[in-house]
Amino acid sequence: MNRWWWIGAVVLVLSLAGPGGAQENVVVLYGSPDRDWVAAIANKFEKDTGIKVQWIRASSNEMYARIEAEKANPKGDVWFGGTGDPHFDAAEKGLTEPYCSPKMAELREFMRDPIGGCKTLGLYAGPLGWAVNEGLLKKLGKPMPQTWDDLAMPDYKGLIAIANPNTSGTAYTTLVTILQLKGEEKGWDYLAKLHKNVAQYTKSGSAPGQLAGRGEVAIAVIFLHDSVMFAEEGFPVKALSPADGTGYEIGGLSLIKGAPHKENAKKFIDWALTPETQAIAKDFRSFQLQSNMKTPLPAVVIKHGVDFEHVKTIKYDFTWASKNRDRILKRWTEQIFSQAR
Amino acid sequence: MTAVGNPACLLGGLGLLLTTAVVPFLSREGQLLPGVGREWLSLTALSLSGRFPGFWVLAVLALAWVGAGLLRQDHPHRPALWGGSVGSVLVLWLTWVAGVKPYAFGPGAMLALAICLLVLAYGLSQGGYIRADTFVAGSILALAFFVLLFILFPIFSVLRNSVMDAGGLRPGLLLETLGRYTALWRVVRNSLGLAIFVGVTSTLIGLAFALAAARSRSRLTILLRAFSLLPLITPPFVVGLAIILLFGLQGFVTSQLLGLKTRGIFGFPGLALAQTLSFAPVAFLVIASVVESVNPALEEASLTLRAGPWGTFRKVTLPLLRPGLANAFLLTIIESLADFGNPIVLGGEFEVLSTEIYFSIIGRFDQTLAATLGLILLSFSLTVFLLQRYWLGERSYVVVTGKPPSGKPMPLPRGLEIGLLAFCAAWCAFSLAIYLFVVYGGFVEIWGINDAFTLRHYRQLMRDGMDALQTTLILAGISAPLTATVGILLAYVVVRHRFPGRGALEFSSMLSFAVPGTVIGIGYIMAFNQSPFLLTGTATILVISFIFRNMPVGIRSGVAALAQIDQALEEASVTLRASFATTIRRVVLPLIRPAIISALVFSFVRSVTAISAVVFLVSAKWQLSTKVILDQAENGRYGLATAYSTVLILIMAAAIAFMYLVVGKRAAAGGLEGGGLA
Repeated sequence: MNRWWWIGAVVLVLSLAGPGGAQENVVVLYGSPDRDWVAAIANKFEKDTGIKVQWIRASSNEMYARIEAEKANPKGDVWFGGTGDPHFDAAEKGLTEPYCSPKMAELREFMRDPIGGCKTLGLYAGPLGWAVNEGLLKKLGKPMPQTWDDLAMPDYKGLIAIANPNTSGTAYTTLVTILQLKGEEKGWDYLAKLHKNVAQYTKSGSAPGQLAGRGEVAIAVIFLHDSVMFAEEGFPVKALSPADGTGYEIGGLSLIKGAPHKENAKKFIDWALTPETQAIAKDFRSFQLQSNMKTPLPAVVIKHGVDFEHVKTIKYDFTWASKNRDRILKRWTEQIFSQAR
Repeated sequence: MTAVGNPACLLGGLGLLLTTAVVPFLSREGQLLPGVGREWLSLTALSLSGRFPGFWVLAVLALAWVGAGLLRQDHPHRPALWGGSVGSVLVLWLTWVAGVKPYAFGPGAMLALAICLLVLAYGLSQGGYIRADTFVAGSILALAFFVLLFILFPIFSVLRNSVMDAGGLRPGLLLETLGRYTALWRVVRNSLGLAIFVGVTSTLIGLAFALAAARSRSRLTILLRAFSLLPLITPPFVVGLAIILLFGLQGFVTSQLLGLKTRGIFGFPGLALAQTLSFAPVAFLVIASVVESVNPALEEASLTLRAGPWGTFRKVTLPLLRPGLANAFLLTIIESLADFGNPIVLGGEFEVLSTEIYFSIIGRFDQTLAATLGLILLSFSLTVFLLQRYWLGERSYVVVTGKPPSGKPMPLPRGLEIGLLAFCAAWCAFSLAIYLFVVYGGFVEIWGINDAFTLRHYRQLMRDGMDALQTTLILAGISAPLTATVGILLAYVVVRHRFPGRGALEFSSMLSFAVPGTVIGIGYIMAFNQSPFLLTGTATILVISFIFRNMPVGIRSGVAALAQIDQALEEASVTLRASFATTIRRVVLPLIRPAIISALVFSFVRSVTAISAVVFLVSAKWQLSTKVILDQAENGRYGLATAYSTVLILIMAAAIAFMYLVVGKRAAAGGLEGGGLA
């Protein structure tokens, strides 16, 4: 009965190519950064290209789960932003497909092709750091922390908030940063000490910033651009980077495998990497370093002194982070998280 | 007698023949109809028969019916019965095998199934298997089909995932998964402990309110009734957020009033408080109905026999309330187990099953674990649900009995009355304070940090939130009449007709109340994300989830209303030669109008506030307000989240006020009962 397959296929192609065919001129955008930023991106793309954008926003982990759940029938075309790890995992699992955008040449080198093979492209990057409630520390008579080691001092017991790496990409970046900075064995010892000081593990990555902002804790371990965001939003926190070096995230931009509107998705990716598009991020309290070399760095970030120039970063190995994910999470959950504080 | 032997078979056969020949049996995924032209024709059953010989059988069945329709027979129901059953199964099977990617079920499949079910209904009705006419029999079959597809099938999909992986069916997988999940005992203990605690506190508070409302002569009672509405119209997260801001480390009460430095509110204490605030009103509604139905004659007898007011209260009144108390207790346990909005905001590190299911999908990317935890949660809820139904029986469900009370209700002992009123007033004031804080939060820059007045949250809401709000209102508006129709029709067939499988139908339709929303949500994704039933990403799946989540509201209202109407009225109408449809339209519907309206309003309200199931089902094109609120709260924009919540609360309060105006207080209260329970 092969003939019918062929006829079906021909009919399908004809209906696709024919006038009034099934393909609408839309692109389905799955966005993981700040909701307002995603909304603005959708509006701007519609205005710039006339292609209609249907979008939804969910955290990067949630989006990964959605894309995996939909893999039999992908609904989304392009996955915009969010921590790199889920993007990398998705690429490894074949949920997304490589696309070498012609804009890649314009990107900063470390974000050009973070895991090779154009599997995902760098949209932005941001170093990991702290949001510190200076007022609260002063009131308690505690010094400002300078290094990661300071955070593990008994002084800060019950004053630190950090996300749970089982549910948050930010917190996983923290684990990997420590393990890569200090080496595996020393790293695990340090994490056990840090654990004693943690007041609360939150589910979402940026939630510790709010806790610090509201004075529920004094120090939040979050991405520095989020620290800047909370400070700019009016919370009494200061963005601080660890003096002994820190890791960073790369926000991903991926083409979803089996995208129903693939051509539009590629157009979107090319468009999203232009300086004109990337420049609007700062208007929505998203202060990451954008990947295009020509995108200017927002003045606010320079004011807070937490741009890549002023932050000591380590050589963060994304491939290692991705490959060892299950092992590290299991060990952390069983050996560290389960201990009394 | 008609000229042809078997009109049902003839019509069914012709219809089926036409359907197989010209209506596309399948359609392309994501589209209702294939493009007109060759694709259309290539997807009719006849064209597909080249690939799937099963379609020939369908065509033969249609021809056989036409043939049987033309002949005179002694038992005209037999071809209808047999053909109908074979046809229905055949259509489902063909949809299953032929509806493979990129094709999914199409209009032809639906039409063919409808025809087969109708003919089968005719057979069942004529053959005396269902003692009712074809319409009722058809309704029963259709309802059974929907319940199977949209309630049982998704639940089954979850269960299947807990014992199946890429390697096929492995019952041992369940144990492996549980062995891998080391936190299991802690989580189970947390969930059950919290549920039982909240069950006790809610029941006690509900009892206090019920006694005060039913037995006190104070004017405060109207306030108590209004209070019972609050949790119904509260979007998720609102209570949790307010509690953090009142009782957190920097909370208004803990820090500013009491000078405490504590973060103790995260976890059990905060959750217990939030859930008690949310579920005590549910307990109140259940217990109030029992308090009102206590026959005062018993208490009078006790007083006559020289028992004092306290003795009467302790030895007579309270024991009479026992079934109501147990019922309220079990219902709050189910609600607490299923609660998602409060634990996600207030849980801290206190893990409960409903949120662990969510996080095992979005954090650990582990569908098997989610399914396994879903199975555990489901088994708890079901156990409690079964206890509630079969141990307590159904008597405590009926609220509006229609029987007038046979005397004046006894007043409470003086001391007790004052104590209860004082307690209730304090609790109401506390609830009210929480809601005022929510409204206040929408008008200040940053709640708790910078209390300068601002309208910017509302301006942003007007700019960005209107799409989701519109979608929410439209979808909730579409689903409300459908929910009421399905629910009341189901109530009607279950109350008024006896047929095989009646108990099973009623039980499974009420199941969607016991199944926690997160479980239903992942069930819908697993069941409807692939051919042949492809629905994810559409508005349809949202509407369907609303209908089947809220259907118990309609059933409850319908059962309560129908129980009041003597069947003799309908029999009289039938005796006077009115057709069944006329009887329904002219006799039954006008009598249960209040139930219909309250079912409409409450399914609308519950759809607007739904989060746990739909958080998985919203899509790029169809977004809902509650999801937007969740996003904004996640990013710390409490101002925007609370502004949004305030708008939703106002809309729903308006809907309920409208219902009170239209149907009057008593019926509205009856509907409330349904709304609260389901």
